[in-house]
Amino acid sequence: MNKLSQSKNVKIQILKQMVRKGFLIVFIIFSFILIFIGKPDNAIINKTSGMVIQFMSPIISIISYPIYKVGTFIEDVKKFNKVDKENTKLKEEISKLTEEINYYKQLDSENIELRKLTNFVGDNSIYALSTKVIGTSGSGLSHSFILDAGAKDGVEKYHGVLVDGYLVGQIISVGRNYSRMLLITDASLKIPVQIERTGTRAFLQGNNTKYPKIIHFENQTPLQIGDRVITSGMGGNLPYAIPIGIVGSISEEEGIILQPYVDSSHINYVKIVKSVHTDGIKQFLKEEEIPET
Amino acid sequence: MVKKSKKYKWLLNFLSTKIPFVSSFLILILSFVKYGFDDSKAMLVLIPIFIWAMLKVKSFDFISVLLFGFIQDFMDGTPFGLNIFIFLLLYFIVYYQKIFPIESSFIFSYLSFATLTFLLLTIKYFFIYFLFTNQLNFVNTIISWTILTLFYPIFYVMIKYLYERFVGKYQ
Repeated sequence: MNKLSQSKNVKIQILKQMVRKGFLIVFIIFSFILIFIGKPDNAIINKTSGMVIQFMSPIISIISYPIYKVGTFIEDVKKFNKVDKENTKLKEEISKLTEEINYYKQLDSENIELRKLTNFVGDNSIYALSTKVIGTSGSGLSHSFILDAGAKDGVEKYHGVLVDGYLVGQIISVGRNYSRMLLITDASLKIPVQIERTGTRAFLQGNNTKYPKIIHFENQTPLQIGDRVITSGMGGNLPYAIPIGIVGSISEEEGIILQPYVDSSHINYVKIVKSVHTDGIKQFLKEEEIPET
Repeated sequence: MVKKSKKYKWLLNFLSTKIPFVSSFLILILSFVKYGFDDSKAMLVLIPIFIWAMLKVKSFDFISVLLFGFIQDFMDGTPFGLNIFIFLLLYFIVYYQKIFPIESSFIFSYLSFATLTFLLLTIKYFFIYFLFTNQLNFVNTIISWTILTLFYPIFYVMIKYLYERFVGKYQ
């Protein structure tokens, strides 16, 4: 009797193992299929992504805090030696900047007067919100940050992300309190840009290195090393004329390489911006939709 | 007294079954923390998945691995399903292979881990390269793999300790 029940138990164990193995194989096949059908732009994936970020971010935030504090302490100690030199340099810069501010104030008032005279309505002013970077992507194949602001703060997908006035990325998914941004260096991000000197329009395409590529499709005017690259404002998601970087190198093998103004490894705080035209364009597209009959 | 020790044993047993999941989850989170050198990142959770699967711990089943892949996919922004596939494949190979006695020595497990993760990260790279973009740099994959192999001994010692002290005792 005992032997019988023992062999029965063994059989059950073997069966359990087989079922387990079978399920695992099914899940492997299913995840393989999912790679092809689970496009990042899918609405369900976007929503779930927001929920996962919402759940994970507080935990990452707590664990990041001591590491961030240690990091800033080391940075402070490093900076301490340079304080004197920096102080003199900053004083010089302040006096220079004060002169520049006065000049820009003059230009601004002139601009306002001219806008009044011409009844100009194309305003490029932006909505902005400052927030902290609390986490980063977990593998080398993606360049993204998790930000401490979400839908409740007014953050939406495709809003631009700035550091010191320079574009560093774009919001890609939004949770209630947190959001995830892709850096301009990420291979899946493509941003419409413009070369300031020539007005040539192009696309900025990340390649997971520190230096993204400029895909140059309007070929009339040749580009030069040092040309400033700004947002073109096309598509309405990003405001016009936000500086991104300069043309770093031009070669036949590698193409046109951008040298960004901001090094992404030193980003701790960012500003989220959107073009004021975004809502207008959305409204326009909504009105343009033909109702189904 | 007997009742108390029974309860204590039950609690220890319960906590021991949760150790593999909790430790792996914490290591998973470590990958998302911002250190300041963000060009060099690695999916550190591959290490506990490999070790717990190698030790054939019953409480660490493929559902946990599936969940880690799910989280990694959403946090990373890589094509959905890719990390789940990589994690489950690693777990499957390590748990069910009977040809190599990888658990017999540290060196053997280390070499197996290095080889397997290199293959899996290369598969991941080619998936992204061919299916989604052709702008990727293979150097990132090499850096990720190097970080993984550098961190393996540290996590191996930690996990082995947890296994011998708690998980293996109460399994």
